[in-house]
Amino acid sequence: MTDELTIPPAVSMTDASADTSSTQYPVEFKGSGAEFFKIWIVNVLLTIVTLSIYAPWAKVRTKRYFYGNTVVDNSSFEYHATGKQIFLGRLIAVVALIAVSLAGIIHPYATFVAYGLIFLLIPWVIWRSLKFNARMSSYRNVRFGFSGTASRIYFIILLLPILILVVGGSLIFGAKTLLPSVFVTIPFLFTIGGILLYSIFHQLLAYYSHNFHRYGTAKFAAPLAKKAFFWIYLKTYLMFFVLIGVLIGIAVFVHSFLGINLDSLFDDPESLEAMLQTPIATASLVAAYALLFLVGAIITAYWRSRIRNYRYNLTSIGGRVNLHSTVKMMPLWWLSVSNFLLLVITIGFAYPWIKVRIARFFARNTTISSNGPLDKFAADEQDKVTSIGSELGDAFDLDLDIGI
Amino acid sequence: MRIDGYFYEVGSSTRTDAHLNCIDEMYQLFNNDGELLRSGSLHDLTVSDRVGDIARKIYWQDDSLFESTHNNEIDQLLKQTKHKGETIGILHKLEKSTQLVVLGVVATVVFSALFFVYGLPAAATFVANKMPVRSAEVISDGAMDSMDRFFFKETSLSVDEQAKWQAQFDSVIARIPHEGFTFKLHFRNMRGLPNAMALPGGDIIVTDAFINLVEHPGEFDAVLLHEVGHVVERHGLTQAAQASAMTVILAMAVGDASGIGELIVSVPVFLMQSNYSRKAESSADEYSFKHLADLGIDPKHFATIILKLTEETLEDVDNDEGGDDKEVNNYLSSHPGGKSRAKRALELSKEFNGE
Repeated sequence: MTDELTIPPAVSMTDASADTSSTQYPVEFKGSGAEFFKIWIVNVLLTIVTLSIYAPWAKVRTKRYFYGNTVVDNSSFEYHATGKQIFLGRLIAVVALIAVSLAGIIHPYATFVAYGLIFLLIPWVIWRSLKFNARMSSYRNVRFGFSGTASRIYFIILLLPILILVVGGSLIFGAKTLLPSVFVTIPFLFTIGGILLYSIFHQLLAYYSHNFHRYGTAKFAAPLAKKAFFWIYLKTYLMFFVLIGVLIGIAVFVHSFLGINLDSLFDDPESLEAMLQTPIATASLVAAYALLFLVGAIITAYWRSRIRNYRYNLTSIGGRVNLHSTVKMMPLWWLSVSNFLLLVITIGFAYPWIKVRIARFFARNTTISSNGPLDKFAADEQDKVTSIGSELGDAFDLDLDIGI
Repeated sequence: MRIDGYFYEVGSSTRTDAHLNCIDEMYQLFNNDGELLRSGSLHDLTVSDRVGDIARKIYWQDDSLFESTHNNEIDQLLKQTKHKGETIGILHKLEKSTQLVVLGVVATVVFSALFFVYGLPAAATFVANKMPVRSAEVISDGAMDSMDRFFFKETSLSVDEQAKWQAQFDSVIARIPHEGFTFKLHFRNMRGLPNAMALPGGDIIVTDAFINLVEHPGEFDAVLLHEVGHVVERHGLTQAAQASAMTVILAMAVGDASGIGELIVSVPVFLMQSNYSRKAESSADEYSFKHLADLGIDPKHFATIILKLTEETLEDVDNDEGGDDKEVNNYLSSHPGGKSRAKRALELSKEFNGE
């Protein structure tokens, strides 16, 4: 009995101190749909009037609204890019695209070469965008940064897929020609292989994003594991099958209930054709789409919530701040579905409310814990220097959450 | 005037509770223990533009920062001192104006409607017309392969019969402008349904059941020319360009907001793709009528075959008042009802026969 009560003093000490010194900071989103609606509609109006030249400035205003309304421990985030910077970045992109479309004038093959070059530039643009977006964001007067290398993103999104296509393609082709009898029995293995490869691809991207961002000089770190991604993908895939099975079950049941013989319909095209003209067919088609949509949204919500929680819960900054995400599947599902319905009913005018709802939802499901106050994070001198230089081609502003 | 907020020295996230005391154009920055941190002219400070009610950021030249949520006081201060940051406040004033918001809504609706009704089709036509015939052929080859796999079975027409229609096909094609396309005839069986269709690269597919419906070579020619019309007027390519643009636009608009865009976007796009638009159909009809007349074939054959395809009769045409075809439910069928089309053909037939 006494043994059980004897706790090693060192252990209990560290446990207790960890509990008391770790402070939880909820992430708050303070914006409102009505307020953002006005900002949005003025943006849209000015963008239309200026034939979209205003778009970069509209984007800056929107981003500033969302950053500025995201508040942790009473301090807000800030987005620093200027409309002019983004305008120049986009101008370069537009000029490049025009050049590509005119390349065919020189020589028919010049078009191919030009598209090839654009293709090769995509990873570079993504990389510049990651750096730009990080550097243009700050919290408590300390800028974020991104120090991932270009070669790594080239490897992940260009070299690796090509390698997989070549190796996988020749394996499949080889199996098909050498072992045709075995080949037909193993589509299952190919499915698993596909899930495996895609989950690895996703893990590599997420790892790249979560381990090379910085807050000032403090590095983000997240030991994301390929195995965990694979499990999430596998479960998502199984869920997809189960739910589709349930849907088919419902369809068969409803049709037998209505006295429609599905087999005879597909055997006899005449009656299928006639059937398609009836209101019941229209109704059941609409119902099928609606169900498919709802089920698709469940699967997406499952996948998104699990990936996000996994990513965030493993992420720490500078070894003393940890992120926490508590997104649940069904609330996320409802957010997607209700947002979609709002958009359709209002023919798109609910867009600003939806953006605010999304921001509020994810903020509410995110917490930051820290050992001690959020003080004393040091800015990186380099971020300051490069943020002033708006050299040409610096401001690529693709918005991508490559880790989703 | 006193404005409360937080002060951050350059280079660190360390936060100090502080307040600005402003008299005319001069400021003094105190921490909340009453210690003077900085002082100077307000004109040396940069103030971030107001957006909604987000905290304002006031920067010193050395990148130190004062953050405050007291927007109204700061606006008042900027106005009183005629600070350079004040002019940019115009956007915030626009955003507060009800008239402008209403104008924005109206303008957006009008603009979007114009874009979808005129802009997008015009752009799609432009792109389709610029597309080289070779690209159309590549698209067609792919489409032919997958249709062979999923929809078609091999034809059961005899070799002689195939040769007969091939000769008929060749004689018509030889007498019309090609516009750079190479036309090919394919015989297929499609679950016993009568149908004829064209792929954008110039492949024209006729089903066995369709051939069996044809009682006069002129009927074959009429449908053939209709399909050629689709090809040379590039309806398929236009439709494809429009569908891809729609997919991208809708996915951007809906997907961004709900995260489930791809799924729902495919439905309207599918509906668009599964049928040529009414306009494209009647345009192809007109192409057929014109070339039938040029080749000396009576357009009445168009009327007879179209009615056989839609299982209607000439009596239906006579009884029909409004040309209200059974097209409402026809999004899933490749040929819309044919009464009004037959009517038009019969009118032209009268002209053709000099009546």
